[in-house]
Amino acid sequence: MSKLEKILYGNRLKPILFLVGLILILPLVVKSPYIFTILILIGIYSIVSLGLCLLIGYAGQISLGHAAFFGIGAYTSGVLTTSFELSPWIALTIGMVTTFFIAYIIGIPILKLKGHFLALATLGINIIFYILILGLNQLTGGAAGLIGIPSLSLFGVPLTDKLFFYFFVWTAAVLVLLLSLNIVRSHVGRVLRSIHDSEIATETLGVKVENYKVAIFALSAAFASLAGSMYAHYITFVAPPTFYITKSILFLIMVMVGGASSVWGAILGTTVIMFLNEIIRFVGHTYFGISGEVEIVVYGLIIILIMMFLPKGLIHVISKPIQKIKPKKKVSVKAHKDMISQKGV
Amino acid sequence: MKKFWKSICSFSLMLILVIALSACNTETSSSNDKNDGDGDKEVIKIGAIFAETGPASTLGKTQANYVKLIQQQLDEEGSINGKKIEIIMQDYETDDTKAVIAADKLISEGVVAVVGATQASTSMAILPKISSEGIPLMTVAPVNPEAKDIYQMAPSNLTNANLIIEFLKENNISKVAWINARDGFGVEGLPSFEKVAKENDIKIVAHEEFDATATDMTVQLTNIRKENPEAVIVWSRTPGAGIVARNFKALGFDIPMIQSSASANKGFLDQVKDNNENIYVIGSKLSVVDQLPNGEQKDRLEKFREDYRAMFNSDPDNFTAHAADGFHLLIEAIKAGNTTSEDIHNYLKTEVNKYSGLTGSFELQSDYVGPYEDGFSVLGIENNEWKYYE
Repeated sequence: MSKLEKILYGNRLKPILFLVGLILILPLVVKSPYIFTILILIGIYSIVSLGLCLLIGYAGQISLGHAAFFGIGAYTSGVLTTSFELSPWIALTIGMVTTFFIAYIIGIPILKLKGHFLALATLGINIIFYILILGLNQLTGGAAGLIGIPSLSLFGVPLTDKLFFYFFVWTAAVLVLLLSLNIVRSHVGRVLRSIHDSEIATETLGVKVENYKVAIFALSAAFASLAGSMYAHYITFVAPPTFYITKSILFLIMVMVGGASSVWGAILGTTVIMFLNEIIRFVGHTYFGISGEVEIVVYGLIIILIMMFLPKGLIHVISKPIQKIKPKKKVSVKAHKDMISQKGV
Repeated sequence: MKKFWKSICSFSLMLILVIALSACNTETSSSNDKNDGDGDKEVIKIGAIFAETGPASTLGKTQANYVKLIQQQLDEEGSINGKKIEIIMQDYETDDTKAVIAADKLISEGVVAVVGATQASTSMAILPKISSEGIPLMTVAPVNPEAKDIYQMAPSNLTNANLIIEFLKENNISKVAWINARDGFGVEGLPSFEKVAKENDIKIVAHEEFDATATDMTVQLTNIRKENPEAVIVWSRTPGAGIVARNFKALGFDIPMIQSSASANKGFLDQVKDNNENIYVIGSKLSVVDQLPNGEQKDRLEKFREDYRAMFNSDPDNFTAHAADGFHLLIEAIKAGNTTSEDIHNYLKTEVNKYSGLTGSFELQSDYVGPYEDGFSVLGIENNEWKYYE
């Protein structure tokens, strides 16, 4: 069985060990708080991307409203800790549970929609949330934002230190990654891929497609909420513009650039987009004396090029040469093809 | 062909990663230098975080420009006590998260103080990071009065409110309507105004809000008209501020409209072109420098404007002046021999008794937030130029 899994999905232990190794080694090389902040934000955004990847890449359902779920987590943590003086950990948990149920209830009607209509409906969720946080200013601080959100502390160790927060965020990201990998490799993952390919065909097999779609939507929303809470406790300030549609689009770009059909692609895409932004700024300022709008144009151009020539995402470019290096398995081509067909890809 | 493009993309990706690593190394070495204490000894770094791009660039662009001007002036002046001052500018693109990243970048670079951010909410977003490092923050936007470890260069909402009350009393107005943008600056104004309005028996008969990115406010103004106010007060930055003024004229209001200091820029004048009767703005005296009586304040403002004009062929506004005041205070502290964040903090808190800035006089050791009212006035508009009423 494990051999079959390896052929179907590839080895997951080695990439995980590589990622964990990289997470452990990076603090030895990086000393700058600036790079640490970027690494922490990559960790936070990766959690959102992983959820989106399950939803878009596997279940085939688009979402342009994940910034709202990210915001629900951030604001639940922010409001409960500042106004009600609740422990940040309890606030974070309440945020995740609340977001899961909100997304579940919203998901039941909107996931009946398909394609552009679904995208617009999720966009609507984001707009409604944005207006709510602006309007409920007694609770959320309105447009001025919510100040004084406390930092997290773990077993008495305050996570105000960037190094500790970095390890905390990436531990959470790896756990979310493991959970996502397990989902992808389970029968749920196969059903999701099947839904992606043909909802009608999946339904004819007796699968309640709606339940799976709603459940994965709610789970990806809960991931976004977890990331949002971490963001709020790291930055210690939240304001509505952070949770506007543009953020949802950024999350979507991260997933698409990395490769929506792979959970590893989500992490890769997030990393590339985050660094790309900073690199363009660094190169532009240092060597060409450009800034502002020109940076945005270059950034957009690179994304367009990636989407044009690498529609399967950057992960496809990286994984292909690695697969070529690997020694050929003693499996006949026919048997391999048969097994691949079971993956539903 | 497909393979060719894939190779190109792979190569580009590799190149990006190499540059990323080199960028990482640059940051790391800069940080190490700071720790060793010998690499940066001859250079004192000041950070600047402005919205050079994005929606708030209407305010932040001239501030970012000013960084180039003051850097040139510092370079021409040569070293101060054997040390060179370098200003590191970061554009946060009107995005709070990017501002926080920029703050961390400046901390990595070893800055001794930071000037910014352009917006009030962004200043609050970067404050925890900056103050936890003991770095003085010279904010150029009116922030929450409870914020600590901050030196506010922009006039507070209370200062703005006092100027409006003075104008209302002079014109025998006791019934006003209030309309603000639903953003960080917009929502902070009303509580201060309500406080002074109550003390001066001025009644607020209507309160309306509009989205900061809205392009039409006729609904809100129609609601205001039902209450028959004697003046309308607007709390918003451009472009919203200009749109509400245009709608106001289009609806045929014949009462005064008074706008906050966030509208005192060229962008606003261009927006209300030919529709500017009865429109007043709380503006810096910098905007009307030619109409000011001769004196030390006029000379100071004139020199600032001419320097800016010579480099950019356009005029600075009060937002530029806020940034300039922040930089000048820091440079003064450095000239007095204070080269660390702690020393600059001490100098600003204990030594600066009365500082005459471009936007008014400051008393940094008192609890008074921002400059006094002496740098501002309620301005009118005449022939598409600001009109000063003494």
